[in-house]
Amino acid sequence: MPKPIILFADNDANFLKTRTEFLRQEGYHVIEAANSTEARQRLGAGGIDLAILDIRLEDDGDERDLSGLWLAKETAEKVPTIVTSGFMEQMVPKIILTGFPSYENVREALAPRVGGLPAAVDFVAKQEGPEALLAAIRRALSASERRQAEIPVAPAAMMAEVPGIRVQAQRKTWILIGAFASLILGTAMGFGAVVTGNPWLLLGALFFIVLLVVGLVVGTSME
Amino acid sequence: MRADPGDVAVEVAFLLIGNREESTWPLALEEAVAPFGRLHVVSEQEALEEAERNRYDVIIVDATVVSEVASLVARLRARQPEARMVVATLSPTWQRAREAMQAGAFDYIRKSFNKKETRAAIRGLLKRSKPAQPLESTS
Repeated sequence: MPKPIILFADNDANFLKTRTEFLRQEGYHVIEAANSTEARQRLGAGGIDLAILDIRLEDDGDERDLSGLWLAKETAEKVPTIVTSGFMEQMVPKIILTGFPSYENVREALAPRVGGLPAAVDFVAKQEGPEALLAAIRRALSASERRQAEIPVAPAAMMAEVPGIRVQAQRKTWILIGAFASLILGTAMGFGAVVTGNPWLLLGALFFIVLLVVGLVVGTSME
Repeated sequence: MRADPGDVAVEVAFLLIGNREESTWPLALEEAVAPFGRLHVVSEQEALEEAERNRYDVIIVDATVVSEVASLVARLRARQPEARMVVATLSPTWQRAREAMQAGAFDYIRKSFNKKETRAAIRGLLKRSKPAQPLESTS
């Protein structure tokens, strides 16, 4: 069975190193991120089974720094415009980790948001120690496995209800309509160029043929 | 089909699990929720039976008078999965907030006696999405 891949984001290098080593000894494949930009990139690249996000990812001394929490909320609310990235980012379970726990932050992390899903599946204080984090990871991964087992394949009708997929389908339709319009205009202009010998009409025809080809290539390659 | 309580034109059914004998907070809450709907108050002992009997849009659990908050929230959630469940307390802590929200609470708030503040919190609550399936019980 492959090792679960965990993204661990914390700007405290020493803490990140210690916890990463601990989790590797426990059998996990851990990818590190030292700030919110790195964490966002790693999440966007896909292949992550679980993300652990420190709340203060930029500055531990700044109590207004909620970058890790914002990242969790941002990905939880993300409208998946590209099925293979946005949707997956949204579905990665996240554990919020902090050295400065407060009930307001728990609310932000665990309260249901757009679509009824919370930003994170758990909230752990650093003071609770590595074992508490490990227990939270095990719970989150096992809950995620159960959820995935319950939805083996999303039926087409159900997928069509996912906003991003609907947007994608609409875009595809418009691109193909544009390609069809280019075909008509290009043909008309080409015909005009042959009859009248006007070079501008020929140029216009070529332009619409290029548009037609681009439209067909882009339109048919969309999922 | 029940209308969405997020739509303010619909009368919202509120249930408070609290102490009817305590005059201050239930009364303050009743005034605060008046523009949105009606508040029914029951004790901790009556709560589950009431949740079996009638549907509510919002269930507020007063943590200061309920002994096992997380357990009550989980049992209420099982009976009324569509309800927005809120735990209100005088002294919020992050550990209790985590417990309540993992048991299925939609929100965890500080009890306020200020009508405007409570009304704003209720309005915000009604505008938010309906709850999804309960979080896996992780504790």
